[in-house]
Amino acid sequence: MSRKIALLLFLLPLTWGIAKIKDPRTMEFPARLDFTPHQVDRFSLSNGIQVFFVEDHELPVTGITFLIDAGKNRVPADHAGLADILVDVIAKGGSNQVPKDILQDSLDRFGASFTGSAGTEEATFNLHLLSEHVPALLPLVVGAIRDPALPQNQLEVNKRQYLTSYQGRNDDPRSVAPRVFYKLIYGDESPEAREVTPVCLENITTEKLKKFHQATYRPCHIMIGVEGDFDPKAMLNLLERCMGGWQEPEAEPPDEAPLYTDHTSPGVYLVHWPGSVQSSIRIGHKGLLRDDPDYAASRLFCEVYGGGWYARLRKEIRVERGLAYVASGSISTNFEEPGVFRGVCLTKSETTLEAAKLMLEIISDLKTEGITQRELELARSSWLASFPAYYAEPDQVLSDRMEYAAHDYPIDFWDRLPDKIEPLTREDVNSFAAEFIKPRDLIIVILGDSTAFDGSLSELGEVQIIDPEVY
Amino acid sequence: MKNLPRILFAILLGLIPLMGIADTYTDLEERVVEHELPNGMRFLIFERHDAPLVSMVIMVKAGAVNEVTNKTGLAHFLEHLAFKGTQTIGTTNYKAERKVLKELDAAFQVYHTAKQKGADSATVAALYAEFKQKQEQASGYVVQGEFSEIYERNGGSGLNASTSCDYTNYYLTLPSNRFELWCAMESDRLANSVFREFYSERDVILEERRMWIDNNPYGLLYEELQSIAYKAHPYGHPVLGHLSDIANLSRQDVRAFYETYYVPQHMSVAIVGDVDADEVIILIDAYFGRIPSKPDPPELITTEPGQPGIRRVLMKKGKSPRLYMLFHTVPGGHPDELTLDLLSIVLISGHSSRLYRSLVEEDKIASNLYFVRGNHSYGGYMRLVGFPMEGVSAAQLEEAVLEELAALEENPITQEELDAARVRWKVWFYYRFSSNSSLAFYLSWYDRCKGGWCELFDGVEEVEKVTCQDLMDAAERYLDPDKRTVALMEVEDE
Repeated sequence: MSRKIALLLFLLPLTWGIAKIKDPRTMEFPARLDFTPHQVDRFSLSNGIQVFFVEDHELPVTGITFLIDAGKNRVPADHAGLADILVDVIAKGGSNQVPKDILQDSLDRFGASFTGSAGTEEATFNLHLLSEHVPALLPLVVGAIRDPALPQNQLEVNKRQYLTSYQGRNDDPRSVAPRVFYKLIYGDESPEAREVTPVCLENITTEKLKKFHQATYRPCHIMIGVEGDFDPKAMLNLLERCMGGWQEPEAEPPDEAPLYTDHTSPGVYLVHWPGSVQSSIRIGHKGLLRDDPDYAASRLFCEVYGGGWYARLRKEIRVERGLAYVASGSISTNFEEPGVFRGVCLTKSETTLEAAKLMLEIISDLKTEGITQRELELARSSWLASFPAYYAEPDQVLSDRMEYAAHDYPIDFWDRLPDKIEPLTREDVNSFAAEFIKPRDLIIVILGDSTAFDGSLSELGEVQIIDPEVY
Repeated sequence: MKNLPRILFAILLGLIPLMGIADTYTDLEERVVEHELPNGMRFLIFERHDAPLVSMVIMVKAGAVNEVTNKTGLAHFLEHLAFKGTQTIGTTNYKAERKVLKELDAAFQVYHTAKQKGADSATVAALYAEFKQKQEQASGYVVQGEFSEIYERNGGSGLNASTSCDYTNYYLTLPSNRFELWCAMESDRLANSVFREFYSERDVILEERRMWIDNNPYGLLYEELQSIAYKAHPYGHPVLGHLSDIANLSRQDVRAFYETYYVPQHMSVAIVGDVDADEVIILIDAYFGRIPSKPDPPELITTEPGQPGIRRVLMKKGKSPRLYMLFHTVPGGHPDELTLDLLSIVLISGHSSRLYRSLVEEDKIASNLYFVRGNHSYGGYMRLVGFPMEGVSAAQLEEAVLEELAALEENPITQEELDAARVRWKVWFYYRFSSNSSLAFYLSWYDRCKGGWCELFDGVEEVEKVTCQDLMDAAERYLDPDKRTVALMEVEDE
């Protein structure tokens, strides 16, 4: 053994455990990780209610979600708010077996939260609690969903809360601009955009709640998801005992209203807001369906357009010019009807026109010139490497599986996406962008103090004035 | 009737076996691996192998509380600039760039001073042109967005930072096989940040302030509340900074703050996810061990004197009244914090809580209301946020809240209420563990800004020791109506 080798062998244990400093710019990693999301088990109760389980025994807590096909789109426009109020009255109002006060005392006594909300297509209830309290509380909660008491006092509280919100609807400009934008995009009677007005609230009565509940809260409309620390066999038995005997009612559910209810002329809409020191600019048009063949290409497009840290909107408006703190964009997708293509920017009054023009230029450039090869590679690399983060927590996997199942999509729709993203080329994304972006369809909403703008909005097109008091 | 739930649960719990088989909180506590470097920087590692991800939070005990008059907004400004790169990341040639940055700052100061002193417009315009020319020159060396782009390319999610009164924290989730990348990036950022693109970022920050405060009636109301709640302590200043201060801060100010307060012994880092603690420690030693030791920052001397009376501010805007009511409490890490948590649960958390049931459901005076517990290092608060029901003024809601608080004396907190609050507190406790990023935040926050990370777990036993009398004493001591600070938003006059 030479002296050099001997010295090396002597020093080796001393250097063991000391990492070498590397340059982060040159570190290389595999593009994708081997990753299997949390396992979701699927069952059916005897009456057909679908049940999804994800076990996770690290913490002694359980979350139970009830997804019910009883969203805003099953309510007529002049009853807007009914689906939302029903959810709240159920969550707080108790059942015909366990009245309101006892339900609330019971939930609070065990530190449980039972909340709900109505989305456009589904109503959702969530119960979160310590696992040891599931047997005691689940029957009470199911009772409220299945056979709600709908107490008049609770309905009154909810109606007054909505009335309170309606009265302050124009107090904060940050909530006015999106309201106007979505009304223009979808039409003001759309379940995505309609407002809960005093007239609607007048129309909502206990009888109407009861009728809507009987027609829409039915086994074939319900899915249940359970995640956390529970024994699946015991949980399935408990759910069967609580819900298995629930039979389909005779009443037919009301039809679903379309999301796009009106055709608004593209163009420039101004909401003049005297005294505002910052303008809100929203630009967009109809978006995509989730099962659009170009869905994968649209995800990469979104990264480059307005989703990523270094997306065009952020880079050119915020980083390069300091014109905004918020400058972002996306294409949302729905299951049954298209979502919305949108861009958002908040900028001081004196740079309103400059920022709006820049947004339009970016959109136009993406249509005509498309994204660069470098942008494609960055977006793809980012998307593929961050894929596991989408499924990081069990509740994310659960809600995703339930959502796709509810709309008769392949339950592993999202899992298949990396294989579709990976081979995409710049041409794929650019041909999508060229076809998808329709400058003539763009609706441009600008809320701000027009007397302080850096020019006339008519440079963007014919300007129509929106009065937020009546719109 | 009130005993029915208890009877019902006794029956149900007797009939059905318990469903959970999870670890207890002590098992969770034992999984935390603590590691401290010779430079004083502390690391907390929690292995969790569910998904190939790791979340990191760097908690720097440097916030708006460390700012002085004329320099408010500095901690937040620094947080923005900390994404602009280092001496190696974000530049094509740092040596040359450094020279131009100095010239750029000098050009700005000349222009700015001339403008402030009312120089003639031609002079100001000429100086502005020189400044812009230097800015153009400096931007020639910038590799824009390289710092965030490296993370983005490597699948970083949730990349961001936030600044509060007491701390600034930088957070990110990465695929766990790229943990070393984070070590390389962050150890560089904490030691070698270069605050380039200063002037364009200032415009971004001004837009942020407009969004949260100046163009937001409730943001303005909150800023007013904060300013009257503290007459001496820097907690009275907005974290975003005053408009005039932001406009006058310099790159040198940011550099000085960074050098003074971003010291390793004032940083705690939590790493939660699919990593091996032993391997992590090897990398931490190598990368973060490079950060040199620095002197301790100056201590904050000012303490807020006791509040001698009621402070209030009234704004009239829009059609939605709003009530903020603040009571000073205790500094972070004080034993009464837990008691105050439970008190706020009894009073206002849950639909059967005293204030919610009485003011929302029975009297229909409030549309909603809740408490915010400000767990600040130098002095916390309980802030009630109330949304009056339509037709009710903020002042009327204020009176109703005070009546409810006064009723505590005649109708003391019961053992039943305390027991329920304890369970709710435990649910909160466990939900802090529900995601890697949440746990990383709480571990690092408790470690740096409270009494140490163990305190996060100590509460589970301590909560059992709190008595009803403790809650009543805390209510009397801290919720003193004669020492309240109130901000009212009332309906604008027609």
